[in-house]
Amino acid sequence: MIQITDVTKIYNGPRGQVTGLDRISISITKGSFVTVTGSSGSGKTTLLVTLGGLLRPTTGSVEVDGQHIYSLKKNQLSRYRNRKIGFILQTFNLIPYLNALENVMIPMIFASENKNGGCHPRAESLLERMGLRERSLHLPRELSIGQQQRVAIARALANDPDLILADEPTGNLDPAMAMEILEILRKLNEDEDKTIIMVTHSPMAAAFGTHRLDLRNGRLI
Amino acid sequence: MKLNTIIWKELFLRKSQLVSALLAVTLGIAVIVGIQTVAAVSEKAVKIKMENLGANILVLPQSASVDDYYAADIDAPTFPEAYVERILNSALSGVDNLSPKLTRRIDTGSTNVVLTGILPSGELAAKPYWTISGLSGEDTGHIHKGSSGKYADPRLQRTAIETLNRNDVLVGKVVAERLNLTEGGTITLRNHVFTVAGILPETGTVDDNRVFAHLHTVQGILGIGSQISCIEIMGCCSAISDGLLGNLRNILPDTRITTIGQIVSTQIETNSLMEKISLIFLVIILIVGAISIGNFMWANVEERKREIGTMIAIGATRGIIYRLFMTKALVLGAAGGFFGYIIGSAGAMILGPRLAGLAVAPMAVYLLYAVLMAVLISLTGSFIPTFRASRLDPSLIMQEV
Repeated sequence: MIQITDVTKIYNGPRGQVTGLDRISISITKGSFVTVTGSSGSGKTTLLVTLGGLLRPTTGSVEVDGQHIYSLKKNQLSRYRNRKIGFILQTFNLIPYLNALENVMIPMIFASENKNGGCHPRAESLLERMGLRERSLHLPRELSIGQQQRVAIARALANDPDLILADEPTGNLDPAMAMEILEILRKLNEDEDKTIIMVTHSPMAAAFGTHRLDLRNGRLI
Repeated sequence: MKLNTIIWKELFLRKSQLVSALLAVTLGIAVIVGIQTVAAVSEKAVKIKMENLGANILVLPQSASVDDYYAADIDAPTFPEAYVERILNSALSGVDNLSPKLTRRIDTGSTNVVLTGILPSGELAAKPYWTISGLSGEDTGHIHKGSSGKYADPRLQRTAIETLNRNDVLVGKVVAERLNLTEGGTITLRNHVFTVAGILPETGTVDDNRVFAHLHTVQGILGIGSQISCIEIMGCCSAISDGLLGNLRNILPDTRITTIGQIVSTQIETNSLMEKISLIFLVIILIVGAISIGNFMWANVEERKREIGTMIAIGATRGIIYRLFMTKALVLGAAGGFFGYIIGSAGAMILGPRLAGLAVAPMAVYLLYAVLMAVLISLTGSFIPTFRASRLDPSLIMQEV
């Protein structure tokens, strides 16, 4: 259960203050597939990073399973993100000098405090689920765009998080690849009861959600 | 995979930056190691030369001058031999050797000679260049030689003198020729018959005109009790500059303590110049090295903002970010120190003989110092960029923010 209460985020820029989120309150139940839509600058990504514990709101609270996440200290919040949240980004953000397998292992290495116990088989299994077993030793630049996004999804699932936050995950993909990625997300939601919150511009992608939030000027409409 | 895999793979990703950062540390350490190695060898060489030159501090009676020391007048002032014990009991550091002496000009009937009483243990240790001919290896029974082998060439029989018996004398080259003395012969001084235990090689000093006998014998025949005219001290030069003279004056307040100025000051100046140059280089290199590594790390953090942000977003704590960057700095520093030591030592070995006329051997202990110093430089320079990396805003990974 995710509860956002009266969240406002104000950015202090060189040309004055900009309101990213304006008194947003939402409840999201476990197992939902929520899509967040809105025009550019409407506050979609701000909402996502605020939910992900990456950006402290100016006012209001973010509560996940009864835990006020911004009451946690920095390192506690890092560990919380590591274990509870999987991030899937438009630009994949894979580490360019690590191969697919190593990229998937990173969150597990961080979680195990560098002990490496059981990371390798799980990473291989996740890549196999994404149909990338044969590509596990390839560097990101040696993979297609769609394959890179599937590696990113495998990395997001590394520590088996309850919540997956996806920022325009199909934004850089052609329609066929986009459909493939969306199907993977739907399966994760339906088969594994993962809560998915996905920011998207695409009406096709937005249609995959079970719930939809539309933002304009930092407000829910 | 472990964190070290990430560090290792990233290290070789930007090879040109890596090489330039490594080069700055390596060359800096190489300069320091080179200077220090040559300086250490030079100091050792000067010390050996100093030992060969003999004493560098003179303790004279308060009313005596250095001229009295050379003139050896019959009424020259003296002071108690017990002062030697006072120095020995004080546990002063930097006193390598003590040679008490009683010197008097005495009449042999036909001519004057300068008779100098010495304690063999101190005097002979201070003058290793005092050697005698072993007369084809035959033991005279008077002198204990440093080696006992026999050689076909008599020149090879020259051995350092180690002890002197109570009724023996060592005779300077000039006085031996003047009095027509030979080894094994005798000389009578103040009604005391001495055996000539050895003719000293020519040294070009006052020693060539002197006859040396055991101090206590000389005191006896001159009838002046346990008195001496001077104590020659071989002091370590760094100890002299660190206040050995002042400490000696505190122990022996009623004496005149003087250095053989030119020798000592030359060595002190040489050593202090090398130390100052080393120190200046050390400070410059520490600053330049730290800035260079810091600059490299800063650029590295800038280039990797997105990657670091991603790592923080997916769960890297500040401790993990510190480990990623500081371990990298540690590796860079250790490698820079190691290569700096190799290049510095090689440079010293090649340039030492040409510039300083010294055969230079690498000093293993500097490897440890070089690595420690380079690691310190690298960690110091990397701290601020790492601090910054650990505080990067993870929301940077998103496009719209």
